[in-house]
Amino acid sequence: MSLNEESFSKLNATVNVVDNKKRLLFVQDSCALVLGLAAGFLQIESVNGFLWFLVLYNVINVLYVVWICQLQPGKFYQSPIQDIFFESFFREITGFVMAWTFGYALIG
Amino acid sequence: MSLTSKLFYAVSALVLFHSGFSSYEFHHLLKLNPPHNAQSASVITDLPKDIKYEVYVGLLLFILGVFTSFEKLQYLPIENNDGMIISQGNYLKEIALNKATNVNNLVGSNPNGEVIFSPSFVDVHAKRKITREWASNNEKKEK
Amino acid sequence: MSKNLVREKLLTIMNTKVYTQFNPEQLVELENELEIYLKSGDSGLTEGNYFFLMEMIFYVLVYLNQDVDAQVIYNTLRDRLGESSYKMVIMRATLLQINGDDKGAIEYLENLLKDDLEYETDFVTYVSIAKKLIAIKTSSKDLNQEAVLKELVALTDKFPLDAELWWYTGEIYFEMGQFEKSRYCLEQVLCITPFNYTCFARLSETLYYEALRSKKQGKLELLDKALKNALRSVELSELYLKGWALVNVISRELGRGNKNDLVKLSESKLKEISTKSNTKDKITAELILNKI
Repeated sequence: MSLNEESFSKLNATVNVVDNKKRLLFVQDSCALVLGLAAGFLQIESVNGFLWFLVLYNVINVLYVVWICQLQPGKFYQSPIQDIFFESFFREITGFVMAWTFGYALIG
Repeated sequence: MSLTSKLFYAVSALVLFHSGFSSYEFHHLLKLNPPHNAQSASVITDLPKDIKYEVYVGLLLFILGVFTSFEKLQYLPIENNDGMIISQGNYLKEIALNKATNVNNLVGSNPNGEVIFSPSFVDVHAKRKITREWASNNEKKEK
Repeated sequence: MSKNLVREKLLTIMNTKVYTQFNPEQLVELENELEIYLKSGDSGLTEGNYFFLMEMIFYVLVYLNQDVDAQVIYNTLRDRLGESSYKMVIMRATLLQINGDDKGAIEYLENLLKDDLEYETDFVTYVSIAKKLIAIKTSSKDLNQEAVLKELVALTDKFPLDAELWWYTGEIYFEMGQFEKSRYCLEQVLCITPFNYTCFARLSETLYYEALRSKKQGKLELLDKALKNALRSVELSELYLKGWALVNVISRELGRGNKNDLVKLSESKLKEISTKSNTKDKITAELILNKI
């Protein structure tokens, strides 16, 4: 019973969890693609391109925490650091590389 | 999605397209006249600054567009129609169940209504009788 | 923007079935709002939700005695969706009812249940139609509570996983003053919908009445249980008016004075509700505070 009592106040509304993740994913997806496109337009090459992505991707995430989460990401995400910074990292970097090569080939 | 956000998207698309095209032309020209001698040091091989800045601006506008597409969540109360709009000032929905249900409390709805209002057991005849009486009372008042 | 808000509101009303509790004035308003909204054509409305809203209009029209309009809506839906879905069946039974043919409605539903549904494995359809059948029988034959209960209990035996059925049974027991049985039904509801804070509050209320009626020995224990359930309901929903009101009343009944933590906490929460909740809750909370 004691375990039960503990867990009741820590319950999460699943719908809202999923909803918030979806909105974050939209931000990250669209930004990664446009970042890639911009990198292609600027004809950035090799490591510089990945650095460009790493820096700006994190800037956007920080902006998200500050602007959209109003500095209280814990209210909206179960494990904020994991959910916002790491969970969809590989998904976004692949999207970035795709858009990057596309932009690069288009210009060059 | 708000109007500002749409505007940002549109402008950023234009700017990005234009900068992309400029960049394409620049590199095209570079290919046509490849810098092959010692003089080339003075020839520009880097992307001109204005094109770079244009890309940055386009990127910035797009990011702004994405972020302004978030609006503070608003709700209409269920039971009265006086145009009052409820907002908790959040862009996202809170995940803790006891906070999430507060939205329902503020709006005046009950998420378990399907169970507790026993909608399947509504006595249609009684309901109709009440509205009939209400309507006839109203008519009397109007007279 | 405002269209989104209206859509969300109407869908909430539809999902939570709160229109079954509306008074005539609210029904008229709801009907107007629905008609304006549907005519304005909202691209954000899915087709499924559109049909659910149509269903809601149908019932609202029925409640408002606008039989012809209701019939038109039913015909539109029938032409689109056919007659076999249980929602359509229930709507048709309702139409029969309002045309003064309760017997016909009962026969129609009974035949359906006997002929096909008894042998099908469709859980939702059978229960929903059986529930409607009970509702019609109750109003047309003037069944007394005992008889209704008999039917309900038989149905819960067959379908023990229908929360609404248990809740309704519990309500009837509550009206009859059989709190213990009512409690059992509410506990069943909680097994099916464990985060139903309204049900926790109701359970607490039932326990409280039972405690008031019982003699000294059991009283404290019952009150204690009631308090626990009330606290659970506010644990699930921070600003739930009924929950906090019950916490306050019960902890006073337990003989705790003004300085007790729970009394203080519930009072401050009631004050919070009276300042920032919806209009109805605000007024109620203020009334409760004044009484205290």
